[in-house]
Amino acid sequence: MPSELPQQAAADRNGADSLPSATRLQISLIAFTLLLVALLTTLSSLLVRNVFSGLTPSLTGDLRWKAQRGVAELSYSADFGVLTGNQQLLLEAAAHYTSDPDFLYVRFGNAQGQLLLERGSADGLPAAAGVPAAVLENPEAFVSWAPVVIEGLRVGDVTLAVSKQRLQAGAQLYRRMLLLGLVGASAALLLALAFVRLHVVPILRLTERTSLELRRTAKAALASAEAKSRFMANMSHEIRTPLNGLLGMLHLAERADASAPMRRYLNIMGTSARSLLQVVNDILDFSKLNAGSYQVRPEPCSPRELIEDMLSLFAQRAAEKQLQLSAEVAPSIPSAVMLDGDRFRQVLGNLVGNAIKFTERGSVEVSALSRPMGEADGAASVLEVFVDDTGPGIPEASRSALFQAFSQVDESTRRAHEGTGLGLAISKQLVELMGGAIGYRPRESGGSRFHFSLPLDACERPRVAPGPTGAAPPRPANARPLLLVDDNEVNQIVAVELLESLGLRVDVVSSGEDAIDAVVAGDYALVLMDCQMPGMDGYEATREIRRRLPDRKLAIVAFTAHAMSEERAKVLSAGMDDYLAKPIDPAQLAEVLSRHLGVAHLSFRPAPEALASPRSIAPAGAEGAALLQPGLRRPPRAVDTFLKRTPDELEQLRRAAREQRYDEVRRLAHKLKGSAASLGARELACMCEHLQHARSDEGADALNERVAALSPAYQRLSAALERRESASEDGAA
Amino acid sequence: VTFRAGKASAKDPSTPGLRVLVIDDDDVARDVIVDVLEQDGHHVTSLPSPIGATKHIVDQQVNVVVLDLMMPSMRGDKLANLLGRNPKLKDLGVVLVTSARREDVSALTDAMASVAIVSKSGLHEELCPAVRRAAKQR
Repeated sequence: MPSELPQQAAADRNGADSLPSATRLQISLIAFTLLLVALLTTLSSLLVRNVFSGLTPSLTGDLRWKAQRGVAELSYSADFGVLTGNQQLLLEAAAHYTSDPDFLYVRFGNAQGQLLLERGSADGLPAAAGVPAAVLENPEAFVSWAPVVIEGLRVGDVTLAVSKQRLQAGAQLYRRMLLLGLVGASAALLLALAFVRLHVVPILRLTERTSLELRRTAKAALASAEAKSRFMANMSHEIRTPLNGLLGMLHLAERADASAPMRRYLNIMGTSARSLLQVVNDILDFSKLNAGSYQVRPEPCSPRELIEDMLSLFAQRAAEKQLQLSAEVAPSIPSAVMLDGDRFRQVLGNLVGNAIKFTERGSVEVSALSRPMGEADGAASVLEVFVDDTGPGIPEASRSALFQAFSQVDESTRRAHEGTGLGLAISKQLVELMGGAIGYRPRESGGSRFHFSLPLDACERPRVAPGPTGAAPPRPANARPLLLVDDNEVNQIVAVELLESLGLRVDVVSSGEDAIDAVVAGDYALVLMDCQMPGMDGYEATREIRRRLPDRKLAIVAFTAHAMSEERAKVLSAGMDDYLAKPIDPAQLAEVLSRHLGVAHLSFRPAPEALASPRSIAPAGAEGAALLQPGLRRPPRAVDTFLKRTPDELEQLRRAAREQRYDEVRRLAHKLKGSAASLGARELACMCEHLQHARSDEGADALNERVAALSPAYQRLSAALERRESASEDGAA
Repeated sequence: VTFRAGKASAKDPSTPGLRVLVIDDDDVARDVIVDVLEQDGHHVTSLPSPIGATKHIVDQQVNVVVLDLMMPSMRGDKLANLLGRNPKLKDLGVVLVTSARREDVSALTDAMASVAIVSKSGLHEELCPAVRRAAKQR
């Protein structure tokens, strides 16, 4: 897995656009930190600057004032000292200033300008003398000068300098603070980067990888679900195709002459095959529902008609169990509503079928009503359908699992009633897919009540009549032939026999291309088109026919082994008028055909007389028949096969005779006779012919005897054949 | 005696060799029929079951098809009936072979007057003329 990561990361890059990558998050985090630090630094420096710029003017004024004021004061307080030149007095006068922390320099001079006293350093100070009360400044100090006057007489002067050191210290502090701020910001930035690198990035990388893996897993899961559903669809096709042949043949066999036990076996076979088909359909539906690939296709249809159709479908089954089957549809239900008719039928059929299956006596009732929906629900009203039965009901403990897949109420009922246990699970999913709900309530009088509700959207357009039923004048069914298009000969036989027994004429072609040629050349009343054919399939052939003959009114009915409802849309969009699912249901075939041929109703004729079963006629005696007809060519391969196979077949014959399986004896004898006859082995063929007409009433001993007699005959034959063969080899050599 | 003389020794030089398809589920009978027809100078192919026969006939441009009457998947007469309905196969000749006796299958001949039926015990004598007749009829 890790080794795949880089490529996968590249592969998933497009998909990862919506998700921030670790690198991108890292970059944006760094940028964010940088921005934050810059903002903080700027803010704090502005703050410091503001504080200082607020402080600085007052401090400057202070110092300037100190210089100015100091000079003024000294010029008074030190006048006598200046006059007398008494240094002690001057010192005392200046003491207040020299002790000031801002003091820098003081100088007293006499009238002649000579220095009387000086304290501090005058280096670099501007010469302030001459301008009284003025304050001069240089970067280090404020300097002020004043004359010392007594009684109007100038006796000397005084100069005072105040240091700007405090001002400079403030500026320095400001600079330092700025610097500190920058350093702090940088440190914060580095820390943030380190944090991102050490803690955030690994988390992000982990998240990124996890999300990639999740994405990939999801993709794989989707792909596998898709593959599964495709597999199911294909499997169902593969299973349904042979089932089609089986059911078709069974239908023919059931109509043909058969003895009572045979008829019973055929019935059982038919029931088994049909329930197998139901299982396949259930599993297919369920897997499609689970894969989420089922789609609801609402169309205008009449709930009343749907329910009545369903009842007529189950009428026979109910009658067989002597159950009363009835329906009551409230008149308030609109005649046309938007519903997926197929899905509705499937759900209702399942519930009604279950009710009939599990109810031993009494009745099954279907009722439907519409009720207004709550204000909040939006849709105008709800269609409620109830299926009530007088069966055993469902034990409380089993009710919770009722609509779950693969559950039947309990093992004992499972044994009694076959089924996949998928029906109710499928119904639930279908109802929910249609925006409704399904549920179960026990009836007080015993029995079960299943109900489902669907949003009821009445529509204006009435349901389109399914065909020109009754509208077109009835036409003799066999005026024009039908064309059957199917590549499989077994399917052809089934369809042809059914069509003929409906009194219809039918031509057969086995490819899409041939179908087009036949339709262009001939005048067919209807085409029955297999959808899945190698080469040009039924859809393509239909499109081509419609393209070439846009004006020809020709009904094309699809035969499809895909029973899914999507198939219907596909079939209609290809230009076909209707479709029949394989295996062909004879009643459905008749219904669809009568609809499209404009014939009131078609019905099956009794089966045509089957090929006369071998009559029990006395066969010509075997005596005198040649062991091996002379002068015939016998291909060595055929002889080899015959010699290899026949001992086994004789053994099978002996066993069948011992067990008195007359049918098997006849079958094997027929087979052996064909091989023997084609090799000119008259004696054996003749004996087999006798055996083939063995009658069940002739007794076990006679049968065993006749079968036993085959062995010496075969021994003689094989010896003769081997002799001939070696002779011919000699001859060839 | 050489067994593989095949097409070279056509017994009836008046008609050229035909393309014949043999369908029989019994290996022994099938091999014999193929051999008999090859001896008569025909180009012969064979199938063990009727499934896919139509495609084979079209693809191989078969002139005559020889069918066993009794096969497990489909009876030969039914297949012959199907083939007869196919407008694409108007020119196809059909011969049925059977190990049953001719009188037992007379019911069939009524229904399919145009189809020749040959008994397996008479293959060597009857099959080739029947095949040539079936081809000429078309």
